[in-house]
Amino acid sequence: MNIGGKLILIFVLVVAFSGANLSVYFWSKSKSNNAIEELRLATEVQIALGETQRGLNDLSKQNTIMGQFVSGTEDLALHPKDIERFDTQTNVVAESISRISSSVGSESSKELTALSSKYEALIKSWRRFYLYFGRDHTEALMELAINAEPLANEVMQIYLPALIQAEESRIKLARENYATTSALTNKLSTSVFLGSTLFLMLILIWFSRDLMSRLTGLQLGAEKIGAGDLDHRINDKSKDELHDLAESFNDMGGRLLEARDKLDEQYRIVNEQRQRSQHLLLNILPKSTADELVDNGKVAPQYYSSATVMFADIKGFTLSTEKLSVDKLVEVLNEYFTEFDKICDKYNVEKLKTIGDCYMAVSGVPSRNLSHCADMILAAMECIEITKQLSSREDYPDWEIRIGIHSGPVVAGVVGIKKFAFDIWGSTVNRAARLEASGEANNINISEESRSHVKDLFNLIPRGAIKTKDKQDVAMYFVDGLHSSLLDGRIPPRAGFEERYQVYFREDAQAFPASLENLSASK
Amino acid sequence: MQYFKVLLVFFLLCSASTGFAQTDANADNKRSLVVIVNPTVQQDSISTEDLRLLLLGDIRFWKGGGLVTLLIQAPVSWERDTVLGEVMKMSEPQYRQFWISKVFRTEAASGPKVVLSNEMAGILVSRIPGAIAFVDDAEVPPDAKVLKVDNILPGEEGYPLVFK
Repeated sequence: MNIGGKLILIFVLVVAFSGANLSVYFWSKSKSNNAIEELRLATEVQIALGETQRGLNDLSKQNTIMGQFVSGTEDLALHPKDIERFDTQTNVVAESISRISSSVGSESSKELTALSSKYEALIKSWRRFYLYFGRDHTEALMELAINAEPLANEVMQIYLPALIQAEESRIKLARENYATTSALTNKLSTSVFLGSTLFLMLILIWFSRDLMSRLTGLQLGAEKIGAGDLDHRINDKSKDELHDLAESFNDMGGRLLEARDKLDEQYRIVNEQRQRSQHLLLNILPKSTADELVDNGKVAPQYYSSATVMFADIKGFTLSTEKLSVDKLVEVLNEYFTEFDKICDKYNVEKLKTIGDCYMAVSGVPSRNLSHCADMILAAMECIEITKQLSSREDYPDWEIRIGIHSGPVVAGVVGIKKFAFDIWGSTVNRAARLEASGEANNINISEESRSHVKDLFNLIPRGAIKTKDKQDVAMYFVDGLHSSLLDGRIPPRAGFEERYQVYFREDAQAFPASLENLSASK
Repeated sequence: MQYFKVLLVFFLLCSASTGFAQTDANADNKRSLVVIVNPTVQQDSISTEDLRLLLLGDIRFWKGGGLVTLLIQAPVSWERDTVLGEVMKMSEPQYRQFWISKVFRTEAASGPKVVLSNEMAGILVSRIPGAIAFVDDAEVPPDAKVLKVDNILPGEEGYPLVFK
């Protein structure tokens, strides 16, 4: 049954119980009215009986007293007005008896009939007594003694008491009926009222609890679905509007689940594509620069007061171009530079670009740090080592690399809107290129500025002032392993280097070249 | 003188005869109060006490049934005075007051009826069932039923209702 049907049923029950209560009330009232009417009639009869008894008593007393008077003389004869007064008195009594007859119950009709007939005879006898009184004393007394007094005695001692007793029984019965009826109707009314109230209360409690629990279930279900628990289903087994609503919520949850799955798939695809794009972007830009470019659509140029720039050029590449096929050449070159890329990542060095067989990188950009020069030299050492390893391979060209490193201020940024690339500018870049050009194969040639950053970490061999391609005399140094103080054998070279690195730059070293470790041990 | 003596003797004789006659008359003045009842009354005798109670209205029915109707002579009659004074020990006003109160207290459905003469009493007693009356023994109706008082008939030795 649907909710509307249930509400209508409850309404019908309320109306039915109200009707039952009203019916019981009216029935009770009718019964009470009947009992009250019966009681009223009985009371009226009692009053009329009292009046009759009093009137008869008065008349009887009056006549009894009169019987004690001597009435043998005419002057004692009753005046017609006295007779009229007597008639009035007897009529009053007769009216009382008449009132009794109209109100008396059928159970007292026999006594009433007897009383009425006797009273009529008594009135006639009394009337004769009055008529004889003062005229014929003998007849008067005879009438009084023979007829009137025995009749009065019968009426007052037998019939009237019998009627009074019958009416008392009747009034007692009426009282008992009234009490019984009142008690019964009160009990019935109370029972029906309490019963119907209790029943309706139970029905309403059941209905409201059922409704509230189901509404709560709907609310919780809607909240769960709204909170994202799209697998949640509202369980409502009834067949009403709330069930339909629950089914709608469940359908909505199902559709939302499908939509979310589709959205997740779309998101996964988009994310993959985004990650791919991000990866590509990170290949050409540093992460912070790529993020800035993504967020703002452009990258503001940044000034770095101190950074280290490295140029690494492959010696023997030109000769290899004549010996190797282009494909092989590119493949080998790619292998070298791939290894260099890995090394740069390892030492937090930012690869900038390759120009032919030249590999250009910068340290301290875009993330500023104090260890940029040391990091760059460690990376350069590892690049030389990997070059040596690769060159020793069969079918690989005998390549060496010449590395130039210089430290100084640079400006970094991205220029252009197509095929843009992260780059640095400044004299430091040119000086680094000059240092590379002035270096030797498998050696790291650094400037005076770079030396000042790492003079306590590495052993540096001064080369003196060397004239560069732009005709300037530049003090240069070759890096020759770790500083001699780190190789005194007290602690392992790596530990000593890392300790000093931490003291100098307030950070831990990114990595440490294995070849350098071996080299140090041999020394 | 002789004439006066004769007169004196005659006077004395007359006086003496008168005195004797008076003495005899006084001896004859003792009168009995006879209780007569209607023949329907089944009792033949009544005690002095029951008679008093009957006169006071405390006995209203005869033994054997029947309503008592008390007939009593009108005031100033010998019978009434005797009944009130000797039997009931009441004065006329007391008796009247007594009965009026009794009637008004509804202690009696009927009171004593006044008759004017023994003859009337005899007539009414004979005609009213249960009637009782007190008459002079000299005027008892011939067909009246006379009750013994304390089982003694009037005229017999010890009859209690003998008065001057």
